Amino acid sequence: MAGSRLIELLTKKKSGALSLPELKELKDLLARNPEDEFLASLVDDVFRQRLEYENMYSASKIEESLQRLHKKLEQQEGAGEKRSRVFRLNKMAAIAACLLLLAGLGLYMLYATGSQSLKQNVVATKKGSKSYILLPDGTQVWLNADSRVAYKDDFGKVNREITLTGEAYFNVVKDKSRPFIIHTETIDVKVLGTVFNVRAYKNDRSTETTLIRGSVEVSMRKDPDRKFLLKPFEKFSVSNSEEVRDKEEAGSESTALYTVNKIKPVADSSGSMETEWVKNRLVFEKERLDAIAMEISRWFDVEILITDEHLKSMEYSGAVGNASLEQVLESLKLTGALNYKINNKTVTITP
Amino acid sequence: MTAEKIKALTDSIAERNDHAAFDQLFRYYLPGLVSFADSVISDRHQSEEVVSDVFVKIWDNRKTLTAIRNFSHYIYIATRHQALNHIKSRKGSAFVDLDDAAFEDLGEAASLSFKTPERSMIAKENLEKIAQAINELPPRCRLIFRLIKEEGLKYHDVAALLDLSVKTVENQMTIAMKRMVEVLEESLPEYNMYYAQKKIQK
Repeated sequence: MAGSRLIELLTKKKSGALSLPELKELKDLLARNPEDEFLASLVDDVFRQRLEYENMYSASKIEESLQRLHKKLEQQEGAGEKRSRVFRLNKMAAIAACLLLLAGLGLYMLYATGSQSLKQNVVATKKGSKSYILLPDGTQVWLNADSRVAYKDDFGKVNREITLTGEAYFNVVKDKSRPFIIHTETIDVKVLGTVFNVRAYKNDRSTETTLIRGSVEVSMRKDPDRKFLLKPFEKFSVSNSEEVRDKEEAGSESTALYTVNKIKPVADSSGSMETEWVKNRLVFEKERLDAIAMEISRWFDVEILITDEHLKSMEYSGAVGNASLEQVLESLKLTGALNYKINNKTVTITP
Repeated sequence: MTAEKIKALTDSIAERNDHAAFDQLFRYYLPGLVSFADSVISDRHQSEEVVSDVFVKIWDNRKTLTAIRNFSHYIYIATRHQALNHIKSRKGSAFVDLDDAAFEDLGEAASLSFKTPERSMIAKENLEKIAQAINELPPRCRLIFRLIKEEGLKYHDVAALLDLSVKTVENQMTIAMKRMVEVLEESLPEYNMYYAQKKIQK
């Protein structure tokens, strides 16, 4: 019988995961036991044989499927031509149709061509919708509402750079030779391969990066030498207001301009409060009502008016999953001290 | 197909709009992707629709193919996402919930065989026994074995695809390998004879 260590090492070898010391260990093991060596050669033999599906697809079935795919591609191209004809006939109707189409998709890809420059790929979400993007290097991006990611056509060839406004959760594929860089208005985040969240909404008070796994380096756009290395479950936060930043540069180091805080992992999940939105959960912890209102506005695409100044600075905590606008407002109301009215796309919050 | 061959095909599609290369990729990936999508959707016909939608998107975005390093990994993730979206649209919700129970079911729906063995020390009937042992593994374990052996995916690729830890993927692969070695030891008289001889010599 083959020992379990032998099987472990053979598995690693055939999976391309054998380290150099392990390779040496395997060689020594095989040299000691000729029967193991014979077994290893049989395993090599099996791995040379191609595993196919028993009776799922015959060659002719595959050709039929291929024909159906060709038809789908032709139909798609045909539809594109028809649209351009309509455009000539009735511009307004075509524009209206396109806008409707975009609204329905909630996500669109735009190829803005410069005369010389590379094509830019843009993925954007509207208020009230989220999206998922798979970048060419295999990196996964979850895009929150009212957010935008852009990357050039040569993404991944020499570098991996994208720009972000809004909020996104990243699962970056490891590639030491090509660091992954996210540019936002105020900060750059450099990554080697990891899972993290970046929040850079223009109308928020601050830009934030929360690291879940791996490591990232944050640098200030205006002061690239200023670098912060984050550890897992740390959140970096910087004020979005130029005013506050200028004051800090003038010398008062005590202002809490950049902060790095430990965050709480969420029990029975691999994330944190900052990344719960990916699972369609809206989570607040001791947040001001005006900040919460901004989030709800993006999440559900509504205008929110808070009539009372004092109410704006009240802090609320809570978490709701897969909830409707009414459910979110109702749970805020239960927490106390406020009332609300929904009128079409406007929510009014009163004491 | 080797990784180099796949890279050559995808580059040719990106740079020369190579239809023949595109068809070749489709023929190669279709059964595996449909079997994978089927584990999510449990509908063979719909699974094929999902896979052809993935290929339509690949053709539309063919210019970006040159930047993809591991096409197998990419297309399996794209198919997973398309399949989960399909389920969501069936349920009428616009956003894919990561907690979706479908993740737990990801696996291999169809059974495998060594249909066209190359020159081998192992007799055809013994290869069949090995294939049978692989088919008797749990669907997820079988999928992990196939993705690593046939598609050349790495542990971390498979882990990202199936939302598992790298350690779990390695353990599952070791289980499949152990089963394979057991069959080899049981069913190979050559091996047993060799083993017995060694014992006598000792």
